[in-house]
Amino acid sequence: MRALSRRGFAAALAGLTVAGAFAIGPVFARPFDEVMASGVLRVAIYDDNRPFSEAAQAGPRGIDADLARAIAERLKLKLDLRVVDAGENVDGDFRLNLWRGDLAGTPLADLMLHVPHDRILATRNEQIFLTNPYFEQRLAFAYHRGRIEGFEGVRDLEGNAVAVEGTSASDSLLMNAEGGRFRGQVRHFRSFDEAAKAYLAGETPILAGTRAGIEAALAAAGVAGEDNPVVEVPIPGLVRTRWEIGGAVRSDSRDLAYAVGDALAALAQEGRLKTICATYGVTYAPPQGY
Amino acid sequence: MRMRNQFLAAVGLAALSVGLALPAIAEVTEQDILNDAKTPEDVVTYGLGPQAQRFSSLKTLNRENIKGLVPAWSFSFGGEKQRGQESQALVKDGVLYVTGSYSRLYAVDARTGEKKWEYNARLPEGILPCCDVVNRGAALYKDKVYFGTLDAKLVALDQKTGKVVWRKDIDDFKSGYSYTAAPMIVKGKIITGVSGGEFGVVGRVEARDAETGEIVWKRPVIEGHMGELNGKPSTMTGKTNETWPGDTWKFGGGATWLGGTYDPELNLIYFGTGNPGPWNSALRPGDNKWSASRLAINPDNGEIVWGFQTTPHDGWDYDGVNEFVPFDMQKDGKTVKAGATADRNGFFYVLDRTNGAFLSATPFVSNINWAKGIDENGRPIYDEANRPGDPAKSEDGKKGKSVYATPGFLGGKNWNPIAYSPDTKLFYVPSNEWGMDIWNEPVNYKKGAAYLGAGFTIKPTFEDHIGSLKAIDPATKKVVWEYKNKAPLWAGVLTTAGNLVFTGTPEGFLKAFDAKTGEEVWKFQVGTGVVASPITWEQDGEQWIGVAAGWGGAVPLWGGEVAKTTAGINQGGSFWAFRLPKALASR
Repeated sequence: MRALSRRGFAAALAGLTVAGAFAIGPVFARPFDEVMASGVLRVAIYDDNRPFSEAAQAGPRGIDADLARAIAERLKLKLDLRVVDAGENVDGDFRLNLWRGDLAGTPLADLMLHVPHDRILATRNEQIFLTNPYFEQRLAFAYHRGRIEGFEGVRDLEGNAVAVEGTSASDSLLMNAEGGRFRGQVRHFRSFDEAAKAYLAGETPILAGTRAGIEAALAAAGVAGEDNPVVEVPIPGLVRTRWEIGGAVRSDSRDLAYAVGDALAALAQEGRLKTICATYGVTYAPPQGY
Repeated sequence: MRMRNQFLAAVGLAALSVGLALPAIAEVTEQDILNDAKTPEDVVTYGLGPQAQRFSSLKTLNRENIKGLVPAWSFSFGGEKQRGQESQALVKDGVLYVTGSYSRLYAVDARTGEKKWEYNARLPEGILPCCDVVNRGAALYKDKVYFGTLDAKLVALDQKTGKVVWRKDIDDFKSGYSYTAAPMIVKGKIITGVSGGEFGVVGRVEARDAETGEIVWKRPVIEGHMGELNGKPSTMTGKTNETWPGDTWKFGGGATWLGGTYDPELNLIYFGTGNPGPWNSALRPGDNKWSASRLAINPDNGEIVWGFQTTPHDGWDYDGVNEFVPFDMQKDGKTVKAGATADRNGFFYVLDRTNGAFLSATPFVSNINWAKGIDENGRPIYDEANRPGDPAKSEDGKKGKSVYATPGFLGGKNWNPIAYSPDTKLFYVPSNEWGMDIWNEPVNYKKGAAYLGAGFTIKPTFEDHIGSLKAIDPATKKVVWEYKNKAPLWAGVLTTAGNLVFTGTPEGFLKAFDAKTGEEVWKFQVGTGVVASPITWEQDGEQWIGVAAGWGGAVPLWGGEVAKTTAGINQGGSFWAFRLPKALASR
C-alpha cells in the first residue's frame, strides 16, 4: 500500500487540522515582527540535495545554504540553519517544518527553501504561503561525447543506456517517452548521486537529471565541458520538465514571505545568486518572471 | 579467575533471592506458544495461537449471560501521544503486555490494571513514519518481551523490569523503513518483515536468534534478490527477469509489513507481501513476483516452499500482506489442510496450505470491478478497462485516464485480522465496501523536485454503510451473515467457543455478536474509536475480555465521503478489561 497510499497522507491530515488551527489568529500576523524582534531567522533546507544543500562535515553547504546566509544577512538577522531529511513529499515537509512539527518536538522553522513554486501545491496546503521563486529547475541530459555523436532529440536515446534516479521526474520522462519505447534502456539508481557516479565511471553513455544536478556533478568530477555536453531536449507527455523553486512560510507570516521575496529579488539583481550558483559549477537559471 | 567466579556466584545468589521475593513468573516456553490456542488462561501469541485463528476455547461467557459482562478496569497509555491504538494485548501469569502508539509498551497487572512498568522508545529527531504511528503488538518468549519501533528497530525487554536486553536495527529509518507489526516467535527465532514504501525498499522476511538478536536468515521476497543463511548467501528468490523487465526488480517493493502466521504441523511460516513499485503497472509488464503474494517459508533456513500471487501485476495498490490463517476444512467427507486469506483485492481465497494449490476464491465485498472473477488456477480475469492508464498514453497530457476501481486501495479488508471458529466452521471477516477514482498525477513533489505519482479519491459503495463484518463458510463459499457498520471497520476480530464474535467500531463500541446468526448481543462504549484486536482469557475462574481503545490508523487520514462517517470521533489511548463475575456466570 505504501508508495501509493502515503501520498495523500499529508494533504488529508492537513485538511483535518486546518479548521482547528486556523480559526484563530489574524491573517496578517506578527511573525515578521517576531522574527525581527528575536533577531534570528530559522531556515530549513534539505539534507542530501546536492548541489543545493547537504549537511557537510564543515557545516551545511550548497546553493540553498549560501542563499539562506545571504537572505539573513540582508534582513540583518542571525541565521539558524536546519538541515532536515526530506519526507515523502513536499506537502509533508510543510507540515513537519512549518506548521505542525515532528515527533521529537523540534521547533518549527520560519522559512523553508527549495519549495516548488506551484499554484496547485500552494492551494492544497492552506497552512503555507510561497515567496517569490529564485531558480528554475530544468530536466536535462549529459552525454559522453565520443560514445554518442550528438544528442538533439529523444530518438538519439536509441540503443543507449541512461543512468537516472528511480521515480524522479527524469525517470518518469524516460519511461513514458514515445509510448514507453526506451524503457529497456533506463538504468535505475536509488539517488541522483549514484546515477551520476555510474555515468562518470563510464557505465552508461547518458545521464539524466536536473541541469543543476548534472552540472554540479560534472564540475565536482572536473569533467565539465566539451567532453560531456549538457543538453535539454523537448519530450512531450505528462511529466513536468521545468519547475521553479522558491521559499515558503506559514500562511500567517505573509509579511515575512514578502521581506524574503524582496531580499531574493535584490540578490538576483546584484548578481549574488549567479555567483553562488557558480561556486558549485551551476549555471544560474532565473525564474521566468525575471 | 577465582575472583571472577566468586563474583558470578554472588550475582547468582542475589538474582536468586530477588527471584524468590517476587511472585513466581514462569518463562514462556516453546510449548506455551504452540499450545496457546488450547490454554485460555494465557495469551502468549499474536492471534491466540501461531495459526492466528483468534479463537478461544472459553465458553463461560455466552449470549445468555453476556449482559453481566462489566468493565473491571481501564488503563490509560498517558501522555499526549494519542492516535491509533491497533495493539493486541498478551497475558501471562497475571501480567498484561500491551503496546501503544508511538512505540510504547506497558506491563500491567491483569487483575487490577495497575502499571508495573512502561517502555517508551526514544524516537529519533526527524523520523517520518507513514500511515499513522501505530503498533500492533508484542511477542513473548522465555523471560523477554519483544516489539518493533517506528524507527525500524527490534527491542527485547526483560519481562519483569522492562529493561532493554538488546536492541537491533531492522533497517535504516532514514531510508524509509519502519516497523509496526507484532513479531512472531518460531522455534527460538524471532521472525519479522519490514515496512516502507520509499523507492528502493524491497520486502524481506528475517529470522533472528531470539536470545541474542543476531540474524539467522533473510529472505527477500522479490525475484532476483539473494537470500542469506548464517551470514552467507543462500539462494536467490525466483529467477532474475522472469516476471520483471529490465532492472525494475531491484527496486520492486513488496514490503512485508504485517507479519506472518505459523503452522507447526507442516513447519511453515506464512507471510504476505505488499504491492510492487513503481505504482503504475505499465512500467513493469509481467507478474512481478512475489509482490502481492502469500509465501510459505521454511523457518529453519528461510527457503520459500511455495508462493501464491493474489494480484499478479498489481496496478491498484492491492497489497498482499493480509494474514493467511491455517485451518482444517471438511469437504466432501474429507479433511483438507487448508488456509484462508481475505485479500485487499476483495476476494476470499482458500488454498491448500501444504503446497499453495488454489482451492477457491469468492468475492467478499460488492461491486468488484478490477477483475471479472478468478479463474480455475487462481488467476484474476482482469477487466483492462478498470486498470489505471499508462502515463505514456495520456490523451490530455495532464493527468491521464482516471478509472473507478473497486475495492479502493485500502482494500476489501485492510490490516485488521479475521477470525476462524472451528465450532461454527465460519470465518469472520471485517470488510469495507468502497472504491476509488485513480489516475496519474503529475503535480507531486519530493525534496522540491517533481515526480509522476498517483492521485486518488476513495468513495463509499453504499450510502448507509462502509463497514461490513461477514461470516463466511469456506467450504460452501456462502456469506452466512453480515453486520453493517456506518464507518469503516478497522478492528481485529475474536471468536469464542461460547458462540460469540467480538470486534470494535470507530464509533467507539466494542461489540459482541452471536457467532451463528450475527445477532448483536452486547456493546460497550469505550469513549474513542476501537481499531485494535480484542482478546479473552481466564483469570481466577472468570472469563475476561480486553481491548485497546484509541481512534486512528489510516482511515482518518483520508478525506472526502469516507471522512464524513468518522467525523467527530475523539482520539484516545487506553486499554479496557471486562469480566463476567462468577455469580453472574453461574446464574
